[in-house]
Amino acid sequence: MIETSVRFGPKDHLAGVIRDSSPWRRDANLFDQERVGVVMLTAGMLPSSGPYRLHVDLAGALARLGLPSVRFDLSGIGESFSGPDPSASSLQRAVNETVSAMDLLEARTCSQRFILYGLCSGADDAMQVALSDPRVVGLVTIDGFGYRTLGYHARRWFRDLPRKAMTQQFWRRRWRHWRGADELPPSLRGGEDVREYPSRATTCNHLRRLVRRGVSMHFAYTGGIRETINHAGQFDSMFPEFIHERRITHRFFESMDHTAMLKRDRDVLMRHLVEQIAHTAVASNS
Amino acid sequence: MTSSAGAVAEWDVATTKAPGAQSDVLTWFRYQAAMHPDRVAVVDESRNWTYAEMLACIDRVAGHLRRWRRATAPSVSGDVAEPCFVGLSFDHSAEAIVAMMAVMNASMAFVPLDPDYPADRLAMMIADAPIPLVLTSASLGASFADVITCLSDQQDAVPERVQLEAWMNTEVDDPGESVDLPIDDVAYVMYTSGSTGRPKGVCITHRALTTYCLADVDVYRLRDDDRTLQFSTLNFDIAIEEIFPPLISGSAVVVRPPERSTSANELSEIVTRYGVTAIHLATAYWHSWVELMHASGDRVPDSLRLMVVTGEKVSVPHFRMWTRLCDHDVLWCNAYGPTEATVSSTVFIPGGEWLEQTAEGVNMPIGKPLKGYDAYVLDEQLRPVSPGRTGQLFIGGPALAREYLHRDDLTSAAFVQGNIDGKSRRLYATGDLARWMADGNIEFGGRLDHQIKLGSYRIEPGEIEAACNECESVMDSVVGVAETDGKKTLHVHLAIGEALLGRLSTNAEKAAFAAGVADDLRERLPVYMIPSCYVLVDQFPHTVNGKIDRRALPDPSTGVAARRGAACSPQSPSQRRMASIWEEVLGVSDVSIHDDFFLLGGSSLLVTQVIARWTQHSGEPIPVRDFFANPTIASITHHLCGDSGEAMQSSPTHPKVSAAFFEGAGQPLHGTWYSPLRASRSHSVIFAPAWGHEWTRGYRNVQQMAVLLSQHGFDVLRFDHPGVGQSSGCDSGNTFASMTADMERAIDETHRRTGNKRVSLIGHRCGATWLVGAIEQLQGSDSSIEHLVLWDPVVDGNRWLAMLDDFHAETLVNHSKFPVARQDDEDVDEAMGMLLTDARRREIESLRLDMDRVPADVACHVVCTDGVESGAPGPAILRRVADNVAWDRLDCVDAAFASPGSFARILEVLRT
Repeated sequence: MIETSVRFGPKDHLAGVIRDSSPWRRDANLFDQERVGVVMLTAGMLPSSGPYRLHVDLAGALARLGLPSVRFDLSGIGESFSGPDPSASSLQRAVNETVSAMDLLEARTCSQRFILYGLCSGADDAMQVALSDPRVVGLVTIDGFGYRTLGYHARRWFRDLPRKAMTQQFWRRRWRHWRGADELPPSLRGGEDVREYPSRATTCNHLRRLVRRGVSMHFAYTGGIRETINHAGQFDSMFPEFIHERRITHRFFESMDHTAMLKRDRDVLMRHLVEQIAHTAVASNS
Repeated sequence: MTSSAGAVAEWDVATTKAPGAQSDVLTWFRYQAAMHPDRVAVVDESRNWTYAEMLACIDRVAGHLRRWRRATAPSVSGDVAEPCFVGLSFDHSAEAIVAMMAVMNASMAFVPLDPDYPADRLAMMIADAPIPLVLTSASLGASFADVITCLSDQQDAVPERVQLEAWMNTEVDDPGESVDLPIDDVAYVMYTSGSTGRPKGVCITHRALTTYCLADVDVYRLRDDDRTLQFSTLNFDIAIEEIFPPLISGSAVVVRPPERSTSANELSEIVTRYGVTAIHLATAYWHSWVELMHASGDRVPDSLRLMVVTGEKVSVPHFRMWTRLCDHDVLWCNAYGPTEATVSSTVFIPGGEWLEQTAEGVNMPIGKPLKGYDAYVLDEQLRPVSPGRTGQLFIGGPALAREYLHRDDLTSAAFVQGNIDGKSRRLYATGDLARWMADGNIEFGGRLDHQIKLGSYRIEPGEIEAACNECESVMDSVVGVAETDGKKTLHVHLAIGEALLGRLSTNAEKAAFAAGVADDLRERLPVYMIPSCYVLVDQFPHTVNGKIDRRALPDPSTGVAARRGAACSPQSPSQRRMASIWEEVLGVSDVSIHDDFFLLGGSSLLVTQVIARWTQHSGEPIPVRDFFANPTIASITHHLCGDSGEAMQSSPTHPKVSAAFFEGAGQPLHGTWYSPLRASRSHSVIFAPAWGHEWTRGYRNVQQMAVLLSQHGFDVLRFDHPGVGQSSGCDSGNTFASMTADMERAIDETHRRTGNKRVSLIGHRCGATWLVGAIEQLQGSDSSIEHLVLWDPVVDGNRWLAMLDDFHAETLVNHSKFPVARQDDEDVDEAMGMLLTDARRREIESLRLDMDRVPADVACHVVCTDGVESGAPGPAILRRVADNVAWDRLDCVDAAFASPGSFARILEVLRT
């Protein structure tokens, strides 16, 4: 396998790593009618290696299948410097920079079509890139957009909160908080979650446009975003109009946390991602 | 009477008492030279001068001066019937200090002549004194031609010029004898702005100078191990307090280097580089320094012990900010004083409690009189006003100036006899309003007249108005000062008549007219007196009394900057932002991207304000030198951002970065190299990062540290061990031996890429602790390891691992990450995402911070954030940082941290 560390972008301000299969493997791979490359978008503020190196391991597994990939840091994250256009919105900047990463992968690996993989904010960015660039043929995301449903609220109040309130830790934390023992230095306090999903109607429109364009989409969710999704069936409740749409699939990993901290969770997630990406790559040739 | 030869030996060290208040500063200096001949007196960029060396030079130059005086004025010989003035035209240098003291030694008086002043003004000062001799340095010798032309044109006597170096290095055949200096003779003359358009020379006697210096030593508690920075230009009285009090107290003066620093925070860089302990700064400059430190995350340098701020009203919010930036005790003083009372007359030292007890919006007092000074607040009949009532501030005591040179009218107006408590006293009327506070301090209440304090300078608007009125087509003028966010800028209203104003229909035409006026002013006035904004009117409105109605003048914001040619508006976001900063700082509007900052009225002080604001906006510091080299918006944004007026591009002030996989001991390792864009120190820095989840927490902070270091000239490598970050492999397979081998490869690879033999290592958390064990082996490699920086080192690996296991166990069940409680996988040993094996556990448990393992030839520094255990630092130097990273809190395991204090400390130690 070939792994290359790259700088790119208008002033080489972006950093990434391209991983490709060996040339013999590349010649033999199943997906080479028009080569498909995978772009791994930046997950939140994590460097491009991903949570617990998930993206490094994923790149290795994909390369073994003959799929080249690039993982990179958006400007201001990881090894990338601040971006060239401070006036652009962060979403637009993410789109521009992901398109640059696609251009780079195209130039380096002859990939002409792309599958975007994104976790957390990377999922949101991936959706926008897919809408703006026709080279995107597939989306595989983890913990992307979500909308609370009636069922969500019922499960939250009658199942999750009582379950939580049964634990010692819950009450211990409340006690510490009440005593003020949880006071953190200001620099370490979490801010508001800056993720803003489009309205459900807008997302429906986006999905419809991508379906019409033939883009395959897989949306995986973990129990780590239980503030939005808390059941395997919730995706269908959110988007009943796409229940029978074969280009849209989803999966819920209920007991898993948002970043797959446990190795066995990562192994499960990894296998799933590889399957979905490979499946999407094959489907894009059909 | 003493002979000049062997002056040092003449003091009987064992029996001689220290000089007293009646002795001149030269006598004090001789005493210090006798007591401590080998102690360093002056530090400049090229060398250290001991007291004995300085005194020898002073005596040699004084011998030449006496001979010159005998040759040119045989009638007065060595007598001092009339003061003989010697002009000194020097930049900051040890030679300038030699020249000052040599002139005094030769019973003459020196007059600072700033080489940056306009030729007209220098010529006027030379003719006014008069000055028959100018001492200068070889580097400035040629710059006097215009002054001579001016003097010749006005048929004034042209002074003889001598390059000091020639006299410093040669003995004179007949040096003559130095005499005891009459204490009431003039020591020097300092020219200040004059309201009638003519600067006035303030004559300071030896008695006044000694009185001030002793008071300074007393109030600032000067010590013989102090190193005072000589930062101010010589024609400003701050230079007097920077030079003489340290030298009479046996301490050292550090001369500001002549070259501009590449650092954005030039002052901090100088203080750190030279271990400066005492600084005297003009208030506006100090404000800028505080803002710059705040913006760049720098801390007050460790070495600083004394900070004296003087010249203008201190902003309390800036003082509050200063206390937050300061990690150690610094004697901070707000000094007040007119040049007519030598330097400072009153000082306020706010204790730690002052801020706490002070309500928002309260002004900082100017304090109490210094030892030997008297201060009175008097009414118009020179009667003391009761405490709390406002009156004019008068200063008394032996430190008052003798007179304004050849200006009896001004002297009698400013220096008055007052009857206080039944005694007749000579007082100087400061023209400042003040009141006594209940605690015995004095509060400053503004000016009685229109005098302006701008930066370090006292400006009489009348002097600028007189110069404006001499410009073609200007009928009358009114100079004012505008203040925005505490920044002052000069503006001028010019009455030019209805006809001319009618012809100047566009702003471009008005700007071109203003440019002509500014050109004329530059011929007559120093740069700091050139207005930055010009408001053109046909005539001035008048009050019923016939005076100009200042309140009815158009708002200065309607004025134009002096500019020729059409204005070119900012195009890109960076240009727009830079233009808006310039407009805020300079108080002008419609700035063109091709306008020269310094021609718009910008000064070096304002440069620091631009840099502070830009840094705050973009996070990217601008080295001072880069700004001076690119004084237009177009050029500086092009330099910073590659900005060509279209889209802004990434800033080339980022270091050059290359990333690659290189051969490790087992697996290929991913490395990122940061190279300085310019001025490499030929010194590499390699990081040993934290482990486990702490690696992720520190990732971006360490990256920013790497960028900062490369911006300061270091070549930096960050690399990942196998199974960490981007490198392949499995972390659990790493051993201390394999990691040491990886580090050796990293050092070799860095050497191969940079050619640098000098290497320093920065270890973070466990990376630091492991480095201590590995350093001996690493030191054996080809490159020499100079510094080992241990940043928040883990003192005990066993405890660290136990903390990690606790975090892990708690996380599985506490519902913070997982929606349902999880159990550990019995087949996998992991803690917070870090894979472990028995062997790896044993190694981590054995990890101890054992400072005895650091070889003696490696400079070791421990930098610890708030609450982090440092262990016993042993031979290492421990530096505490106030930032709190909370390594030991479970709720912070995902919180990326920032520690600007650590940055500052680490940069500081690596630059030593």
